[in-house]
Amino acid sequence: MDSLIFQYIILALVFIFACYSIFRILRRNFVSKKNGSKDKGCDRGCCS
Amino acid sequence: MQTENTKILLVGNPNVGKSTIFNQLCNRKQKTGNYAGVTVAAHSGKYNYQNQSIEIVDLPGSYSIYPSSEDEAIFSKYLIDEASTYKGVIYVLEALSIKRGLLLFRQIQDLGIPVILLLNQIDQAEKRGIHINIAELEKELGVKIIATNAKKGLGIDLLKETIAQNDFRRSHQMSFEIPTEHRGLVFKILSDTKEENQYKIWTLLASDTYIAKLETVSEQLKDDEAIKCLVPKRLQTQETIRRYASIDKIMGKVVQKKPEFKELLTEKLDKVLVHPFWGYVVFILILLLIFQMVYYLASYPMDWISNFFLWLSEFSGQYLPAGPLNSMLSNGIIPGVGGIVVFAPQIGILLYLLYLLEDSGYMARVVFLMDRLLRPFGLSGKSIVPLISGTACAIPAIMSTRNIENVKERLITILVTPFMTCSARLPVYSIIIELVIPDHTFFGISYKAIALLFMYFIGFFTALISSFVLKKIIKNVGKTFLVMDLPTYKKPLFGYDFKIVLQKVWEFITGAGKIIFLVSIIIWVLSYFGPSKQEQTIVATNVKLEQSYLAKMGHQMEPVIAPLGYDWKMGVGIITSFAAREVFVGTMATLYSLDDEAPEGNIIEKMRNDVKPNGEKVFSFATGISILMYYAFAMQCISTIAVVYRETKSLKWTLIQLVSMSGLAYIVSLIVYQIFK
Repeated sequence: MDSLIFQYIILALVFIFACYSIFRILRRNFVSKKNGSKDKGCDRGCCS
Repeated sequence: MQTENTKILLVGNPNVGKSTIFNQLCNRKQKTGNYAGVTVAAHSGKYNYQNQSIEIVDLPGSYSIYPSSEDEAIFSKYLIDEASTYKGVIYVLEALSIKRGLLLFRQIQDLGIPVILLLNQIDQAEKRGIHINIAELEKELGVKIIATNAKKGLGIDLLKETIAQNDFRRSHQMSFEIPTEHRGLVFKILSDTKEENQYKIWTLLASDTYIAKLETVSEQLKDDEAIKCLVPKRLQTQETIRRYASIDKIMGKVVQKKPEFKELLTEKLDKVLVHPFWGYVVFILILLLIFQMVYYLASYPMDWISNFFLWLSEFSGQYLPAGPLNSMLSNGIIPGVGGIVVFAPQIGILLYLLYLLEDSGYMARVVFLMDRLLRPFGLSGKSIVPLISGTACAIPAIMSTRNIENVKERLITILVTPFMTCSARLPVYSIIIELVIPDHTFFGISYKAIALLFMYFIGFFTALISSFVLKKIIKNVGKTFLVMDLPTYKKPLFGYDFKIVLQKVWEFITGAGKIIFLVSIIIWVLSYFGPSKQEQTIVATNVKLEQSYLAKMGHQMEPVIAPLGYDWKMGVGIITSFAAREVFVGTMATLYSLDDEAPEGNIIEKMRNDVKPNGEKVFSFATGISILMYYAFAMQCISTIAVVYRETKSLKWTLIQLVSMSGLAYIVSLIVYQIFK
């Protein structure tokens, strides 16, 4: 029984993590980048 | 030992091999292509040589210092405004088009920027009987010249050595003489602004981009009448004509061409490949061959991957301790992720074949053929490159519209590009075609390959028709023209392209896989729990799929999706695939894995044999065609919506696109289902 409760607790945490991660992925698309004065038109992920 | 930091710009005309040189120098895998406009933003990379850390910035190609589009504006802004931040410029000149390339080179020299000149693809020029006297050219231009063959890596070591020795040369003599009628004004501004470079002042007068600076200067000169009368475009033309006259003189001294040189393979091939009739026939045949290979070659690794995930699911189900975590892993996450990873071979093979075509120079011919075809529909010239690259992914394609000068044409191109069949649609098309199209062949070509080709054409023709309609609504009267070189055919870089494809496939697995992983967890939780029938408990666990919360939510959608022939599971798949189209397949895989009442077999078999309560097949021919049409038209990709918003900076147009594409998808799917059922 204890093992089952433990599993449900992990499950709840995993579920919250999944919902939050999906929310972050979706939100990230619409958050505008804060361009600094030295912005050269680089795309996210292209500049090393 | 401490290393010294040096920043260097890599510049030149479009499609002269800048990105290839960038990759050779920095050992990177920046996307290259045998046509103009592949790089639309600045990219940077580093390498170390003789205790120096060299940073190379690969700028978008440009024909002139005066920008005519957004990507060229990035180039000019960096080159002029950031002059104090870099040590010098590596200017890439293609041996086959020296005359055109020297225009921008001379402008850069006149700005007083230190330069090293790379003469790339000199072997191609020799093959065409063109001899270039490099020593004489060095003398004429007053610059260090290095002959390179970037694809083979020849000359790269010498380039690194030259950079290390700081052999960038600055020209002290202007090659362009400021026209007499404007000389007085230029000198007046020179003394007012304390600028030393005459040509820099001239570029302020001749450029639209630096209008803000010009206004400041104008204020200082107290509204000088001479400034008010200036027409930037006219000044640019004046400069270009004068520069070409002096370049012609240099060309006469350094370039020798053998008369009646034999016709090259490129000319022979182009007689067929860009022919007004045979060109299109060959293009369709090549596409058919590609899709046939996608189905045939990918079937083996797909079976291995599918069997591996099936085994993994059974293994974890059998050996992990029983309970909800076991079920989540073996019935939720593993089938979900496996359902999408299984399509990686198809995507990899398709991308590899397209890269080979692009590398060989054939895609530039496709752009040329399409230009001819697209003109009656209101799309022309520069809209074609984004449309063609939209077959891989709409996001970089929409970003590449930055090189379209005409704002209305750019907007139309952004709005219609998501209709092009991107690689994310491939898993959806593939699984549905597998379910509803019979396994027969027509003259050796499978019906499935033909169906896939048909889906690509539907996307393409919808883009054309939409642009025709949008042209009437947006009232685009202007037109841009595509000016591009047809590059010589080259042997593709098979190994290099293979590495790029592996990288892209890995991005697909980690990108789509990550979303599927998360969606699988949410779907599993919503399907494992359901409303309780006993008063003592709040929720029931390990319920049948039909009694789960997910089913309850899915059934709420049925009034909307039932007319299209979809059941609640497909409705859930459509909702989750708003994150990305391919998530539909992963969702289906998870749902069918969870459904104890579904027939036995692998996911495809389960989907094929699943029936509705009335005994009708869930994936009948009518439903299959309906869902294919839905995904052909619907804007089911949150990242594309975001990039449209970023590029248009207009919520109105983003919403118009989303609503109209989704509306069109719904209506067409409805009509198709009602006809075929």
